[in-house]
Amino acid sequence: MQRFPSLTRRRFIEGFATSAGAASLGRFSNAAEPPVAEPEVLRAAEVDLAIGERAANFTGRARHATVVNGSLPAPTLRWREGDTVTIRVHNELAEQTSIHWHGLVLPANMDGVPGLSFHGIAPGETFTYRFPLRQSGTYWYHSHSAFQEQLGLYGALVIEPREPEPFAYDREHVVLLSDWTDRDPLALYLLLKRHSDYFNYQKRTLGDFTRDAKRDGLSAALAERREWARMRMQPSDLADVSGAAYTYLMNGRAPAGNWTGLFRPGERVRLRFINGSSMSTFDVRIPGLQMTVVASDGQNVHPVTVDEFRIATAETFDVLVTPSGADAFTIFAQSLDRTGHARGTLAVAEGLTAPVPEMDRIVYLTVADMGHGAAASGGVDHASHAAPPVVAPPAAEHAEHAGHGAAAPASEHAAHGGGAAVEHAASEHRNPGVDMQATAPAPKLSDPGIGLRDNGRRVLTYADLHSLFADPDGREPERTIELHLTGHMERFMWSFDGIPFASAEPLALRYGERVRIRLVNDTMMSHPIHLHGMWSDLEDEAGGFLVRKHTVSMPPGTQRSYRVTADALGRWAYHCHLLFHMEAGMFREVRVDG
Amino acid sequence: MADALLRLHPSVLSAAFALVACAANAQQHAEHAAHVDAPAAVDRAAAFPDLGDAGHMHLEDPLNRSVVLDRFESDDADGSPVVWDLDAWVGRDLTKLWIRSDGERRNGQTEDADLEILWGKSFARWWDLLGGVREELEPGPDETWAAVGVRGTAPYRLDVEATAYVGDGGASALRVETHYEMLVTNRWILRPELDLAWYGQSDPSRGRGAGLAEGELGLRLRYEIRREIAPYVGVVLARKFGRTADRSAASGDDTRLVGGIRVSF
Repeated sequence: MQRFPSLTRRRFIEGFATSAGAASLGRFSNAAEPPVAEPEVLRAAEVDLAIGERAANFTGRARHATVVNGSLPAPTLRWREGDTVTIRVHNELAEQTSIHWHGLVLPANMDGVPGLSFHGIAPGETFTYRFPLRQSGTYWYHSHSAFQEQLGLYGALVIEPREPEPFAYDREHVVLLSDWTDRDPLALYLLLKRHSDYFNYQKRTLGDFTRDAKRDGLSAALAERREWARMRMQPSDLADVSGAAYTYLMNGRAPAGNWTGLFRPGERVRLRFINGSSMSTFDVRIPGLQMTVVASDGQNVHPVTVDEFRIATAETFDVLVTPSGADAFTIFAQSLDRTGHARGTLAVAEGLTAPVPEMDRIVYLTVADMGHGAAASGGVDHASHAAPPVVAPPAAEHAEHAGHGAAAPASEHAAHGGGAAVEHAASEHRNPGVDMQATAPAPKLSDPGIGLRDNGRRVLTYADLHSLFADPDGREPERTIELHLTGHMERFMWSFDGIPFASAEPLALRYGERVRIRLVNDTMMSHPIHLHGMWSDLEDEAGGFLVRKHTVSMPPGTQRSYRVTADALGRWAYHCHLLFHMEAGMFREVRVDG
Repeated sequence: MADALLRLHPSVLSAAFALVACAANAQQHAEHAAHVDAPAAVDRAAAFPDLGDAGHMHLEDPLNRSVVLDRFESDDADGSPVVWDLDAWVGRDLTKLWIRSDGERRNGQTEDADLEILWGKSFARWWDLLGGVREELEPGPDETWAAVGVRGTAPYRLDVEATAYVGDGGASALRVETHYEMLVTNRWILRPELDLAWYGQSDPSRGRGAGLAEGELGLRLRYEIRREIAPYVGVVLARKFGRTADRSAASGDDTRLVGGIRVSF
């Protein structure tokens, strides 16, 4: 690990003060067009969005960014629930484009996924989106074409509710987190496919081994190394693309640019956090302030007060803070792999700063993190689980599954968190695109996650999220669809059940049915899974309704279930929201038909 | 029908209302069960626009290429030697065309050179099967071998390349190359490696003896300035065995200090 970054590297991580200003550099020196601007707020129910290309400079080098109305992020759209909105999207790029309204429930032909909902928007063309807003809250929008999202095509989308909200605040700010790279995203993707650990400079070294051997004893350290080496895996594989390639942005500003949100002392401020990154998970905190989480993925939850929360790609969290006792507070969002951070300031005036905390140390994955049974967290005695389950299985088919799995070596872990013995689809077996399988996955809903456990701060978990409403459907799921998140780290192949998108049949749902989707993560990466067009009603460990989401984060070694009401006719995208995983095939079409 | 009912007794009327109410109730229940109304034609049209053959575009398995000049080095022997070992491929996730070459130049002469062109297919989690040809350009006249082998990562992250060869007149050979990467730091990488070669038959004209013929044990320490550019130093112990050693002009052991650069793109 590089503890003393060179000057160039520091500038790379911290970025330039503003995205503008440096446009006179490099190949854009003669460009007539202005550099990338900061987003404006559009409030009309009828808006025009022009997608184009501009020079952006976050690191000292000018690069092409994909922008909307000249800005990165794209303009913030503020609409009102119940209105029907019209958006004319003009494509000024030389390639096809599209906009997907992430988390919005709308007709399939308005969903913006080329090849599923429409043809995409050809260069020079205009596409008119028109749909009613049947929900409220914090959402976002982004391109669903090629790698435009990585190049900057993402923006905040706020829908104000018709009814008064169950909480009050004096002012609000959107806090849109993202990742920027100077590299061409296609080249980056190809690079990952031939050298998947290219950006990992945190692999454990001889020095780490010596330290561990001193601390745990030589044989323990050796045994632990042997276990990882036997699996041919890296415990430092927390992110595919790290701060070695990324500059992390807050509302389009690099850390040195210090995006600032103003407040008056005593005010209660609503912060709408959106993870609009392509490949990054952030751990967010505001030292000196507690945050009360009031909504997740746009949907209100019972308020829960925390010091820190982890936000997976594509998730949103609304929090309330009441800054007092200081004039400035740092909003600190470190990447999960601790290779960089986004940063901004809440302050009473522009130009103020507060101390920026050091990044936490990297915490390496353990074998238990990956759902491999042995040495499970919390010192659980596995043998005792061979007896009847501690947590009652939520539905009959669990018993059936347990029966199937009885002969499998994993059966003794069956009772973990209410799950059943894990079975893997035949398509996963003898599959050169699948490098690993979980044997004892568990929901781990109350686990803060790798790097956040026992850090002395109160960290949000999924178990803390409870929708303010009861299960909006009310029916028990009629059937359970189990899908495994699969992949091969080294070959950088990603799929569901070992079958990438191109070879997969659509997942067929009957119009009107209520199904349970159970996801099992067989990989060592975290995957944020997003279903278009319909809600994902996450279940608790006993199978009850917990919280309504549009993107469900799946850390390694987890098995999580959610209910879906198939009330949206059409062809919908269902995928991992890590851009390069989606591109590599961790994607399915969900077809809802009568 | 309602008119007719109205002219009837009030009790019939109320019974009729009850029936209608009941039917409506039943319908409501049915709707709740289905939860959503049957789709209207207009909704169906919006849900399934005619997209022709246009599928969702993915670069799921793009054509890719890799070139790794694993060794490009000189050593402390006379004759300003240059040694190379090239590993390149073009292809996709599981199917690749490999081009491999190694060789040696001393005193401005190419003393040893070969080129392999192999088609490779990943057949297991960690293993690729390779098949193709090997052309030995030097020393002596060109010699062509058919090659079949595996390459991959063995448990404990040991990189392995094992190839069997069949040549003219029933000649056969086997080469096994293994190496391991040890991270001193994330940029200083120590790589022990062991290469071994066997021959099936003796071939005095080429100085080959049947059995284990050549072995090379290397230890190289490289510094990755970038992933793509890594200068290194190392020590190599080369030895010829058995009849091959007997036929060799040089003595059995040969220890060399090497220095070079590893380049990939």
